[in-house]
Amino acid sequence: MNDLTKNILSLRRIEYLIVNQHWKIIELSPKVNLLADNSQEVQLGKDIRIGFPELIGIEVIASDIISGKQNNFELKGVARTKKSLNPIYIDICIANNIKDNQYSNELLIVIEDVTEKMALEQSLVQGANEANLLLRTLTASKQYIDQIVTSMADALLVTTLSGKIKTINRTAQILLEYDEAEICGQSISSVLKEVDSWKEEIELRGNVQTPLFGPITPLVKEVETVCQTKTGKTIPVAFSCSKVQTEIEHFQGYVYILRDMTERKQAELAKQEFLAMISHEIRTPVAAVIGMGDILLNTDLSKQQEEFVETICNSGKALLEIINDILDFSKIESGKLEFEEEPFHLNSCIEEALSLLIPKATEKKLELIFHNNSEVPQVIVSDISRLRQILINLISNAIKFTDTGNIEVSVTSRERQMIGNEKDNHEIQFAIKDSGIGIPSNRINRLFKAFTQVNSSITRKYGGTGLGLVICKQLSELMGGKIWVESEENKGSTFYFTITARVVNTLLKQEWETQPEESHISIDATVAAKNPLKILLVEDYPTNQKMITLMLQQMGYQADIANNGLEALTALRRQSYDVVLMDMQMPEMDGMTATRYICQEWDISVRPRIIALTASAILKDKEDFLELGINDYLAKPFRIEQLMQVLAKCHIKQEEISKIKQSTHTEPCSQNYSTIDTAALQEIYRIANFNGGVDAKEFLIETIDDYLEETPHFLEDISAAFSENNFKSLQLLVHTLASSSATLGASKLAALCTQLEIMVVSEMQEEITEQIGKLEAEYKNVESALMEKREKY
Amino acid sequence: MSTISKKICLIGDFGVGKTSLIRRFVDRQFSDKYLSTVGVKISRKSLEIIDSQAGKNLILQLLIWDIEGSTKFKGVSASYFQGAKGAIIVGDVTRPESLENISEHIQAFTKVNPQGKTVIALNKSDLIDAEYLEKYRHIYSFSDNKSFVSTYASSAKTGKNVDEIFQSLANSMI
Repeated sequence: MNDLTKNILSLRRIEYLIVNQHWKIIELSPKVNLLADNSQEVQLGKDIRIGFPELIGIEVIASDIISGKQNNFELKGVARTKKSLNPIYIDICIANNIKDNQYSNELLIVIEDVTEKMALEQSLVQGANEANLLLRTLTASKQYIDQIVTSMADALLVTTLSGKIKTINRTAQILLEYDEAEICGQSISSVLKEVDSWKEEIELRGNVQTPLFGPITPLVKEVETVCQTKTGKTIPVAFSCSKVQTEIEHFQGYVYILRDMTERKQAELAKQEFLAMISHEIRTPVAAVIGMGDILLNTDLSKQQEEFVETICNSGKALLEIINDILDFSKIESGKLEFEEEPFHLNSCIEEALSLLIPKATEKKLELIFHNNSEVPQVIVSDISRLRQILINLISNAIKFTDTGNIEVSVTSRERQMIGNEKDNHEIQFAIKDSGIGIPSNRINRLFKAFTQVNSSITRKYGGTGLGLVICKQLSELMGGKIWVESEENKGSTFYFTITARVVNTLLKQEWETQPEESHISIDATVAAKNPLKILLVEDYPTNQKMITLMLQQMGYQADIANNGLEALTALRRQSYDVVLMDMQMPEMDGMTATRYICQEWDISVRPRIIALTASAILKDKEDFLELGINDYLAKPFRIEQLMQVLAKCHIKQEEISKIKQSTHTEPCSQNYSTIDTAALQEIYRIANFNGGVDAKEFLIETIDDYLEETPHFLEDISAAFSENNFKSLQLLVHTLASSSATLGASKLAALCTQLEIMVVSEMQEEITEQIGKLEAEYKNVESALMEKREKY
Repeated sequence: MSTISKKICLIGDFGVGKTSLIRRFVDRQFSDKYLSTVGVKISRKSLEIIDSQAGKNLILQLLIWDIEGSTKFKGVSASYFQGAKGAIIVGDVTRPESLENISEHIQAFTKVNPQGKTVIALNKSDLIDAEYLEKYRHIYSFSDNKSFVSTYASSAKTGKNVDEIFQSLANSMI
C-alpha cells in the first residue's frame, strides 16, 4: 500500500491487513492487532483467522472475491469484549487487493473501529425494544382487565370523583339501554337516583385500616334500589359501590356494580302471593273446623260427644298454631315481617301473656310468678304483639317441660349507648325460669335451629313443630336483641332474651283494661230481636257460608247469601241491606272490587255497612280496607262472639231514624254535651307532641284557626244547599262539619250536625230549617269558646 | 481426539433470549436484565461429539454467533449467516409474533446455507403452563423441512433443554 493511502487510513483510524489466498498475513497496519480478538496472533505470516475468528466460514466468499466473482464482503458490528473494559465494535470489509487494475490472489481486509456508532445504536435499540415490550405488556394487561370487566355478568359502571360516568360494560349497556358513548358524561344519579346518599356514607366511612391488608377503601354492598333506563323503565337493582383511589387523579372515582333484581323481586312477589293464598286457603278450612266445633259445643251434646268435639276443636287450634308459626317463620326468613311501633305498658304486656297461660299452668298445678321490677321503664315503644308472642312461646315451653314447681318471669333494663341515628335507648332483658327437665349441655346449640328439637322423643312426648324457639330468636334479633339459655338437666332452665326499645315518658291509659273480655252474654235469638238487621253474606266457600249462617241463626238473624261480588251487587240492587259481610278473596269479583262498586253506586247515607271477612293478617291490607270504605273487619277464623260485637255496632242509622220516626219532639240537647270539650283539644296536642317533628302548640293553634276560618263557609254552603233542595250536597257538608267539630271538641255542635244529617236523609224539611238555626247559634258559642282556649296556648 | 471448528448462528426476533441461551450454555449464568445485542458477538464453546460413523469421539468447537435481534424496522443482515453450518432459531413463548416469525428466519438462513441444520428453541418456557408448551412444540415442528432437526421448549433461566439444543445441533452437523 502506498504511503498516501496508509496516511489517509491511519488518520481515519482505519486499520487493514493484506492476506494471501491461504489466509496468511502479508501486510498489516500498525494498530490492527488492537482490534483483534487475540492481538498476539496478528503477525506477519500467521493465519489471520486466529486473530479474527469471524473470518472462519467465509472461505467460499473469499475465493469468489479472489476470482473476481464477488467484489467485496462486509461484516458489520462485530463485538469484541475484553473482560474489564466496555466492548469495542469493528466493521470488517474484505475486497480483492487489486493491483494495477488487476485482480490478485490477495485479499485486502479493512477493519474500522465503529464502537461509538454502535454504542449509540445500542442505546437506541435498547430504548426502542424496551418500549415495545412495555407497550405489549400494558396492552395485554389492559385487554385482560377489559375482558374481565366486559364479560362480567353484572353491570359495571365507573364514574369520576364527581359522579360523571366514564365507562360501562356490556351488561350495563344492555341493562340500561344506553350505548357507552351516549351515557358517558352523564351523572350517575340519572341512573341511580338514590346514589348520592350512599356516596356520603362511603365518605363517612373513610379509610378502613385492616391489620392484614393495610388501608382499604370501604364498600357499600348490596343496597336495594331502582335504576332508570334510557327508555324510562325502572328496574329494581342491588348495587355495590366502592371508591377507586390511585395516585393519578384521572384514574380516581367510583365503581358501581348493579345486579338486576327483577327476577328476584318477581320470585319474592310470587312467594308473597303464595303465602297470602296459602294463608287464606289453609286458614279457611281450619277456621271452618274450629268454628263448627265451637257451634257444636254450644248445642246439646252427650258427655262423650262433647269430648269428641273438644278434641276436634283442640286439634284445629293446634293446627292453626302450627300454620301461624310456619307462616311467621317464612315471613321472617324472607324479610317480610312488618313491625309495629306503638307505645305500650311493658308490665301489661307481660301480664297479658301470663294470664293467657294461667289455665295451662293451673292444670299442671304449676305456679306462674312475675317479679315486678320498679326500675324497669313503664312505657316503651315497640311491637307489643311480637313481644307477647315471644313471652307466650317461652312461658308455654316452660310449662310444657315442667312437671312440678313454678315458672318465674323477671325483667331488667339498662340504658344504652346510642350510635348515630338510633332511637332505641334502652335494652330490656327478660328471663323465664322454670324448674323443669332441663336441657343437656350438648344439645343447647341445637335449640335455636329451625325444625330441631332436643331429641325426637321430645316431639313424640311434647309435640310442637320445633319452630317456636327459632321464631323467638328471629323476633328478638329483629327487635335488636338476642336470646340464650342457661340450663341444668333435671334442675331447670332459664331462657333469657333482650330487646332494644325507645322509652317514652308519657303515661298511657291502660289500654289492656279496655280489651273486651270473653263475653258472657248469652248468644241466642234475642240478639236479633234487640237489633234487627238485614244482612247480606258475600262468601264463596260453602262451608263458610254454612258456618256463618249458622252463627247468625243462633243470634236470630236470617241472612241472604251471595257467592261473589257480582251476585252481591245484584242483591243490593234488588233490595237494601243494613250490613254486608264481605269475604275478601272470592272468584269472579273479589271483595275489594265489590266494595269499590258499592261505594261508587250507593251514597254513604244509603249504603249498607260493609264488614270485611279476611284471612289476611297483613297490616297493609287492613289499611287498604279502611281506605276503600270498609267500615269494619273480622279476621278469620273468628268466633261467634266477635261476630256479635261487630254486628252490635251496626244499628246506629236504623235506630236513630226509627227513634226520630217514633217521637216528634226529640230533645237531643238534653244530653250533657259541652260546647267545647277540652279533652279533645288536649288529645290533638298530645298527638302532635308525640310526633317528633311538629311543634304541638303551633299545630293546635293552626288547627283551631283552620276550623274557625272554614266553618262559617260551611254554614253558608249548608243554607245554600238547603234552599236549592240539594240534599245530597247538604248531607255531605253536614257530615263533614260534624266530624271536624267533633275533632275540635265541639261535641254539642257535632251532635246537632249528626241529628241534622239524619233529618236530611229523611228529608224532614221543617225540622231541617229549625236545626240549621240551632247549628248557627251553637257555632257562635263554639267560636267564642275556641278563641278563649286559643289564647291559653 | 481431533478438533473441528464450526460456525453456528442464533437467530430470532428481539428480546427472545438468544444472548441468554448462549450465556447459560457458555458461562452457566443467567441475568434477568435485558441488554439489546447490536451487531454480532461471537463466543466459543467446545463439545464432545460421538461420531458413530468414524467410531470415535470428536471435540467440536462451536463458534457461536449471537446475532442482533430482528425488529420491524431492521431485518438481519444475511452476511452474518455466511458459512454457518447450523442455526438455532429462537422464539419467545410469551410473544406469539416471535413464534410466527420463526419460519421466516429459517428461510433466511437456509437461503444462505441450503445444507445448514436448524434447531428451534421455544424459549422462556418457565413462564407458561406445560400444556401450552406441548401445543407449541407441535405447531413449530417443521419436519418437512430438510434443515429441521428438532424443536425444544427451553428456558435460559432454569437451564431447561439448553445443553440439549446445542448438543443436538452439534450432532446433526457432523
